[in-house]
Amino acid sequence: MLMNIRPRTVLAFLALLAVIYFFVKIVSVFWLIIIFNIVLLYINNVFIFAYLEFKGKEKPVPVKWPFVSIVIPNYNGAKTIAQCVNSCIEMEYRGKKEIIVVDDGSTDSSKDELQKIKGIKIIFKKKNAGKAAALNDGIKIAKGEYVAAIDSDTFPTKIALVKMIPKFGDNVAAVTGLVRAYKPTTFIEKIQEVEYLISFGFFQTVLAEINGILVTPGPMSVFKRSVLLEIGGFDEKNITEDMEIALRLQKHRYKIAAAPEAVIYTDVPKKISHLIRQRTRWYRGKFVNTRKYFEMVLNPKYGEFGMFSFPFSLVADALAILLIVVTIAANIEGVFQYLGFVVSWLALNAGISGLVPAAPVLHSSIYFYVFTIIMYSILVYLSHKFVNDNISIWKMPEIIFYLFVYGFFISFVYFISFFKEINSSDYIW
Amino acid sequence: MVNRYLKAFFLTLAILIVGLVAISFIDNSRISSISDSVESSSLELQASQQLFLYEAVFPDETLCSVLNKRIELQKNQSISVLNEIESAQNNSLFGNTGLLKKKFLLQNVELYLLIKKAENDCGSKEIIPILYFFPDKVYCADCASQAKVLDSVAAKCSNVRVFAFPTDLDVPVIDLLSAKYSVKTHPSLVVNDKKLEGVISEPGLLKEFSCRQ
Repeated sequence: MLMNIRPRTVLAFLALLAVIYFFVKIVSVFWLIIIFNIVLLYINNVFIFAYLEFKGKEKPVPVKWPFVSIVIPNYNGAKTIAQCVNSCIEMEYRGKKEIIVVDDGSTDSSKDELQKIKGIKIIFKKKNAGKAAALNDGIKIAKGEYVAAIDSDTFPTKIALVKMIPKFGDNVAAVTGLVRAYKPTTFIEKIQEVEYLISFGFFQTVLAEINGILVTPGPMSVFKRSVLLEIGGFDEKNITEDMEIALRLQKHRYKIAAAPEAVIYTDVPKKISHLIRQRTRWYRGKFVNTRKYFEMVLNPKYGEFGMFSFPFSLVADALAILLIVVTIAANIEGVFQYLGFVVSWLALNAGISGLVPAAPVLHSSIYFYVFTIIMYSILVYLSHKFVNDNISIWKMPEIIFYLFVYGFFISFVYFISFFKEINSSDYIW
Repeated sequence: MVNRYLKAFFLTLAILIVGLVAISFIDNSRISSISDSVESSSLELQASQQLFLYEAVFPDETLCSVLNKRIELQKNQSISVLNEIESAQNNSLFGNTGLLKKKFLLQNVELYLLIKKAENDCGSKEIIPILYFFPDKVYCADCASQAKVLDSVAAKCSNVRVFAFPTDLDVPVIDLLSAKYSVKTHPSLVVNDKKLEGVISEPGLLKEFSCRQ
């Protein structure tokens, strides 16, 4: 695929190279590796201490069961919509609940699937206008005090709503659940299962305790309807409306709570190309929304959200982008030198066996990754404890892949997204 | 609230210190293992040198056989040790191998001169020194190939001693030798006073002398 590369992208790329070159020359690549790892360790240490502080502290539960509207936007989700709606119907709830499906101009057999289901409200839209618009339409006709926004490829567990609604305490405008991969079979899905447990399980729960949630996951989050209407609903132009709404709630000084007991299953990308596409959208969305809400960064008015969670998530993103560049910078010279040797050796005609490179000697600073990997192993353990999952030996391949390789993959996608975002303003869903 | 940020800071600081201490330990042990081998062959060399000095002070024809034997026993792993020093330098955070490298090079020069002196004084032609000139500060892909060929030749022929002489490190004798053979291109080899330029393949090199297994 040929892309139009704009001058500003080239400029940004050159600027990044210049920054890296400067650091590599002045500080050396190996000190950079140490600094990156130490910063990552610090961020995670804060999370672990926060977790230890809040662990075991039960909050009083209000025993009220207000009316809840479940809004399901659907666009060409014929394969999963019936199961999704059925699991919503089966969700236990002591109060009243209604289900509204907003069909966003589907061109597949969604309509037939939906008409088979009884007892739900359906809005058919003629033209596809995007998920945020569909959600807004659903919210408008919803009668409930709370609105649960659920993706059409998501299957909440029976207790999800019962666990989430009591979290609406004082000033809480949204509650998130624990999103998990639905029946992961391929390796790609299994790695995401580990990743989701860490980010939507452990991190999200600790973030909720320090009022630092950055995203109300699209698969399922519950909102207070009056607040949504007050702040103007979902942003219909945003590519990651679930992050945008969370940041907007933070900006209006509302709280977002997390209910890790409310497990929600969602389909995750099965193919690496789909995963890359999904992540490119997420990360580009993050860049867009960071720009939109940049005034909150390091703004003491917004408490720990402004001073820790938002800026440090940006630091982590920057590290992700720099990590791939620095790794390349550290090795590119050696690779070229080796290629030169290959050419010269082949010219000698002295046999291929001489081409086998000597076992690489690791630079001492690489040992700092040991600490980071230990830290993430602890996080894997804690996040499995969160959902009372045992870490069986069969899970080891994906956990090991997650610990040692996945970070570099994510870093690579961040890198790509960063430049795509700079290059264009047109989004592909 | 501030508490956990401080706690995390001190924990991270502790990790940093532990990490740096561990790294400096790894670096030092890496360098000291090379340093030990350089040190031990240095003693051997000194012993041979003293024999020469003794001969210069108290002329004694019978010493030649002792000397030849000693010289022949004197092994050097020129290129491999140089590579080890190189890799220790590139891969350690705290280690400085500059002195070690210089010492190793001087030692090699000394061994070469001793071999030549044994040849002149006692007429011994048992050992065949191969001089290998290359740049140390810039990478040269052909030199990497040449080093590989030399390693393999040195492993095959017990009468060969390879002397890796970087031409850009200001070692006086190396500079003199490189001027003597007017070395201009890299890599260059000198075998039996004959200069060979460019990469020499293994069969090409073996033609230049008689290899003793």
